Amino acid sequence: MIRCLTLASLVLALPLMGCSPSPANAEAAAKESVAPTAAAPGAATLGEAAPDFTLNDLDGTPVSLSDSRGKTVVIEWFNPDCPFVKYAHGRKGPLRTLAATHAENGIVWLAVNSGAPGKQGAGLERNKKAVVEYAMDHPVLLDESGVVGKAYSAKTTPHMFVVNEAGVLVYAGALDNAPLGNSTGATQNYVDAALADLSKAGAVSNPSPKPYGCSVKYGS
Amino acid sequence: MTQLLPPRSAVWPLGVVLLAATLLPWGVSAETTPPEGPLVSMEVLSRPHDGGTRVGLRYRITPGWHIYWENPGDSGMATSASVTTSDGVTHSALQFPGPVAFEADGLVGYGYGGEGMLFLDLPPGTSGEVLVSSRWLVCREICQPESAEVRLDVTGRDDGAGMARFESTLPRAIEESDGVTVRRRAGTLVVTVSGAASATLFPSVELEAALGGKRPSFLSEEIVNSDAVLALRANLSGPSADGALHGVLRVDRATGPTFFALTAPPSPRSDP
Repeated sequence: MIRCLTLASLVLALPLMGCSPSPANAEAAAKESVAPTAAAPGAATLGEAAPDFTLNDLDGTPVSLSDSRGKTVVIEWFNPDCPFVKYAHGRKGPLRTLAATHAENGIVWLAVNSGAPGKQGAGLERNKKAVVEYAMDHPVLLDESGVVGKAYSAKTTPHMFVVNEAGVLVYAGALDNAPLGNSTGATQNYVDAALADLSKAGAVSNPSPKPYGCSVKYGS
Repeated sequence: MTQLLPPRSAVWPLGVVLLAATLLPWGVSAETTPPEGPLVSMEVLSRPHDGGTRVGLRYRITPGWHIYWENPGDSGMATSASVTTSDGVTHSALQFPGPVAFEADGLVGYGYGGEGMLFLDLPPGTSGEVLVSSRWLVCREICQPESAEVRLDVTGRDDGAGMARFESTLPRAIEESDGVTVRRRAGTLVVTVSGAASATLFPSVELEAALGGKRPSFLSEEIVNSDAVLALRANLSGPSADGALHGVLRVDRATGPTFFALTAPPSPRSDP
């Protein structure tokens, strides 16, 4: 039953995915609808062009991946009430300052919340509070339909993606090897390492470590 | 005698114990806040084993919630534990019984619902009090991290009766008489099982990556000597595909389920 509903929702989403608004008409599309627009031309695959998307931020302003063409972009799947996100954005968490640190080097950081309405951590008001609570400087984009999350196969919060300056998806995986701050050996921040690899014009050496965390709270 | 100790954070009411099912519902309604208090309690047992001591960590899980196997699946976090002996040495090589699968919205998790036990073997000569620590993530639609520490005097202790039914679900090596074959042919993993009603592969993290995240199923393939044969064929690719790959195979026959430790041998081209 759940599978049938999921398949049905994907079928319903296909026309949206096939009608990806160009950056030029994204703003017009956003003005026509209160709900965030979400469109992705296809499934994200490591080593291939990252699917473009347009989602509204918490002020209702549409933000497209293609707005950052020519820059490295980090996409962080986000649910402010997931314990792993709470830890990561907490005072001693690895995401507390990571985005701001890399912003100094021109790296764009986007948080995407694919939680469906009514699910944990979803909704405009909750996310507005979370931005203050976590002192986040980077935008949170709402993907309540889950179209973008499913196009990227985002499974957990946090699930991290890195798109390089050429628009290619070069990283899809865990934030680090320390869920809730617990690692068996030395702590490694995989996203930090991937960005360091890119800054040396090299390939990402560990492009897909298994993500951990809460499941993304998609609608059925 | 067993020692029942609650998680260090609080005491929780022990719930009704449920037998694990092969597929449990995950996500029954929109849930945004976990209930008050711990959702899992941990009890520690031990018995003599191979000249040393086997410790069993028994988790009683609130009905409808689950904790995770060593490969949690699409989301979650593997349950971890360690035992520190009186000489200060810490042991953390956990043994996981065969898991069950949870599925919702196209995401699959592996773990234990209702009740589960993990094992940790200590070397000969272990005696006195040991400190058992464990961390787990307990989830239904939403998740809550929990942990517990329990001290236990293992000297002369034998809780074998309380551990036996869980130990029977530890994966064991495949023997010739089991009717199971595991081969690697030109980048393809081939597993066959004869005379079984169903079979399920639970991949390790490495095998899951080598399978490209796909979850291949067993299909009825042929009849050999009047035995139906179930076969799984899956392409192996990715950076970890050439090494030895591991998983757990659940085989359901009329006598009940059996869990086997599955090992796909390394690719010939990875041999030295």
